[in-house]
Amino acid sequence: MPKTQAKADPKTQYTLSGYIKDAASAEELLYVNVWVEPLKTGATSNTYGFYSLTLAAGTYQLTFSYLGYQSITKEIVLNRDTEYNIELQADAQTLQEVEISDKKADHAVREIAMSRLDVPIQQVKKLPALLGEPDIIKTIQTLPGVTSAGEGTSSFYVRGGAADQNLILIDEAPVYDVSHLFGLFSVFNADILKSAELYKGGIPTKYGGRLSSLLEVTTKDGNARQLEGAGSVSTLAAKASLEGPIVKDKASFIVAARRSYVDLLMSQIPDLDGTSVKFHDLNGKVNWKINNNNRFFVSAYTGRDVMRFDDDFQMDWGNKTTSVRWNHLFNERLFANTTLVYSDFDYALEQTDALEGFRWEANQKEYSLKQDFTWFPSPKFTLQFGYQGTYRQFQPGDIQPNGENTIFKPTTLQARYALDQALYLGAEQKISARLAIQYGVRFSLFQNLGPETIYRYNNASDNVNYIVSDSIRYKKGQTIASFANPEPRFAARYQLNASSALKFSYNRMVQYIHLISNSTVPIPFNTWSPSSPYLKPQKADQVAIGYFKNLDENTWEFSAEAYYKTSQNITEFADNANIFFNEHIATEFRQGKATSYGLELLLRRNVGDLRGFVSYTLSKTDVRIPTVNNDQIFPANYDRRHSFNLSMTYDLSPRWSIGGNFTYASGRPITLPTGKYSFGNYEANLYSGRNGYRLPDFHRMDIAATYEPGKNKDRRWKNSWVFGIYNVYNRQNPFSIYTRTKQDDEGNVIGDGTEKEARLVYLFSVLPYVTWSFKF
Amino acid sequence: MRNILFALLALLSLLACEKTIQLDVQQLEAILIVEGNVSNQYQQHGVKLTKSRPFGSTGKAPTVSGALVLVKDDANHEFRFVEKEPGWYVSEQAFAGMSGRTYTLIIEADGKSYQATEKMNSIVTQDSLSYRIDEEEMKDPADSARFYEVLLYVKEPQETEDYYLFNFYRNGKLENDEGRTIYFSEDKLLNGRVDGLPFPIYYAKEDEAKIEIYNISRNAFRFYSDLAANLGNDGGMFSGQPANVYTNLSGGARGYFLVAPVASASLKVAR
Repeated sequence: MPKTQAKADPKTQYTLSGYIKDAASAEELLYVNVWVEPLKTGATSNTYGFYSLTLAAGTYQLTFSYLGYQSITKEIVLNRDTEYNIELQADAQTLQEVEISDKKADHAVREIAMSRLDVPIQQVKKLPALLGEPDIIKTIQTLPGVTSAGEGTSSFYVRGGAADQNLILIDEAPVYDVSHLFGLFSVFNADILKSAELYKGGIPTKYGGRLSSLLEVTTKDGNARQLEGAGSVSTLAAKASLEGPIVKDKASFIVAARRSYVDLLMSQIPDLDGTSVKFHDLNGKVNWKINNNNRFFVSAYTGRDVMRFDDDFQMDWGNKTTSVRWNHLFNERLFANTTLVYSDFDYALEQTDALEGFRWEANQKEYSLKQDFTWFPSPKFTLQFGYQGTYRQFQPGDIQPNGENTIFKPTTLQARYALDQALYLGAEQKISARLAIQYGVRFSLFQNLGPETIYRYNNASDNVNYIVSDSIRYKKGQTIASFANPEPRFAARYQLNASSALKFSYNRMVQYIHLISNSTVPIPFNTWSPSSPYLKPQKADQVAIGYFKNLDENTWEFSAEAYYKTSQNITEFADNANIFFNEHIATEFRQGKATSYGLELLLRRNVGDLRGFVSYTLSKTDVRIPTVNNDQIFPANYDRRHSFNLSMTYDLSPRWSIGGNFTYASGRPITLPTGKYSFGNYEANLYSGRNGYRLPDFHRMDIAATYEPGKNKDRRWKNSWVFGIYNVYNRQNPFSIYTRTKQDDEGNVIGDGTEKEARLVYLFSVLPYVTWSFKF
Repeated sequence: MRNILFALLALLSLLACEKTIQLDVQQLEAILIVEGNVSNQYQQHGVKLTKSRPFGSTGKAPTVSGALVLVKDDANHEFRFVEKEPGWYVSEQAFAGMSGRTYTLIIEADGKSYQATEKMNSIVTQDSLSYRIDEEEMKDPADSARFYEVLLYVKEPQETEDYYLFNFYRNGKLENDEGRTIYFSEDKLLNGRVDGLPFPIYYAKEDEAKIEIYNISRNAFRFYSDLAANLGNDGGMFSGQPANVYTNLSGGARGYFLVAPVASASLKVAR
């Protein structure tokens, strides 16, 4: 730290900047509060752990505070531009007597952003998990304002938005399908995650492209001080990770692998000969932090599911993402980040047969360049601006016959291309001690590009009797359709007193790519489509107000938020739409409006022995799509009126901690047959409206206990056990209702074959599990 | 895609349980259901009129008697239908539907009128059959004597857009998997050569095997593909949202008036 006796001119401004790290691993810490006395102003570290404060020359007391860490107050004499990196100590559970300093984290109240929730990764690991595999997506599904279609799925629906309206980023790279085993688990291996933040609204101008939410997942950089390893064996999967320095404090790495072993168990069951189900994930990241001015990160993920049935049918799917980032400080006040991103999702279906054998593949790829700047001219004003460009390539289907005597011909659907660009500018301004605002705009430009042949139809919305009247051939790079939109964003915080604030936010979001799925839960065989002459960009406007209050010296956080959101051009499909391998899928598109509103209450405790949250959400989402459901309004597939969640962990002793979940949600809407009719030997269902009925309510309780042997304290090798029970009271929670010809348990038809019955499907009965984990 | 859904359900069945429940749904007024067929065969063609009924009802569909049923073509021919059995109407005269002609079905029942129009395609395929023993099936036949596979050979024209409906018969009895599976196809993925595609059912020695191939319209293809989706829907979770089946009838009736030429091939197994 610089020490100088010379009195600087108090009118001169100097910049204090640096990185905030964890003292043990040298991992940068995100969103750390930096509070400056006597100015009573502050800053927050960004997603790379960087902060910058430009102040008049003088002597200041700086307090660095971060949830789960001991706050540090330092006196700093500022008389020239100063680089000041600081390390924070995690408040170890065993050192309860070391009380955190008087400045506790009051971030939720003080920050301008609202509708943003961080997923406490460490806590997720102590909470009960399906088959012992901790999963952030399952925790996200219990947050206020988020609903799920049912247990065993990895889709989530934010404030009335569809499953494809969430931008899910891992180290800045988008992940298009987060499901393993059709959603039983997500692709995120909890062992390597540093943070996960869900934005339900008030989304910064830096992000766009999805209507409803942003889930920003950041992986660990890897311990830059010492080699560390971790691993676990659960009922479902085994995983291991290794991290450590390459050059101490300068460069480090982390690698992680996870593999399910259901297939190994299944191979023991003779009836399932040739049938297997498996998935794996691989994550890797290296970083090189040359100095404060230049830092590089390379991060990659790949994962895949492979399912084989009876040795002659296979399906597989997976994501590959890579991001390369360069943090550069032009000067202490101008932080720049350059990101190159590659993301690829693909699936394949393969059938082995001499006549009917084929391999069907589809994929989509994107290549992005993001150039982001943050300028910190004063503690009262921060400016973010930048450019993002993405080239997208969609291959909706390619079928290659593989039988020697095949009946099929090789068939490839047209690939589709798009260029997606945006310029953004966002300011954060502290107007007074009480009032702070964020405002800005994102200009997005989307071009659907050739090469492609676009068909013209006599009636494009008739999916049965369409007639192709003409076709236009667009050359490579030629613009087929282009769309431009300003996306204004605004947020304000008014501090009522030290522990409470009122907040407001408005944002417009535009989504240019659409998931082609007409099911409630998307499946990995759904492809995406760019906006085109037949598919308009989706747009949403959301306003939200909130009241935030911290209680008992910031031990408890309470928030109440209400929102109202209208969406235009949300993408739906005609009844019985043929969305697979359809050259004329344009005739199946239907677009319309959605309206959602809701109230979300959250009480959260983030410190001490007892941690967790209790939340309640009241919400309603209605959809109106011309020609669908006879033009009548219907509730969205994932509309649930009430949901209540309780999620807690409690440290009983240094060895034992317990965790529990309770979740309740109103049943989701479902379309049930109101009649039936005979046609030939078939009994078809007759429907009188979409989503006119509801499944029974959903509720479930899970418990878990974590045991850390006492000898862990003195040993480098530490291990722990988690014992849990999923669905403690064995509730048969409804998943779906389907209908069939009435039959007995052996599948023999009862009666004359005209009788039908409705079957309620429920997934998990009471499921105990054990997970063993180790760390060194 | 049916393969995928099957596979998916197989996976889910490892984890899922299910039980029969009673549906508490509103009761709607019954509507007219039409099952009509005009083919290129010289015969008396039939139209069946029934009513829809509540989901949980038992027994056969109630028939609709006393209706006026008429088929007209676009060459000013008119074919009157008479009620032969309750709800079963057949043309007074035998006639053969002609390729390229458009047929309109007109029904007047319970004071309301209903119509459907469809054009007759041409026969475009040439089919033949052969048989062989399925060694695997012979080792462990599901039905003791049935281990003969019947193979289909078809030349499919590539220059036209065609849609097909298949019916499989064993000794004159329709055997489409106990009415659970509908066999239909479009030709966009076919290379025109079907050399020995096995029937979905097995035959015993001396059985008569027969296939009917209808060259149906795009509308009819839609009807059958919707019907298959309607029957195999999982409640909208992974399959599309449950929906009514396409119909070519106007006036609020459902069902289908199928106008299609049929080609058939048959053989006696291992005679």
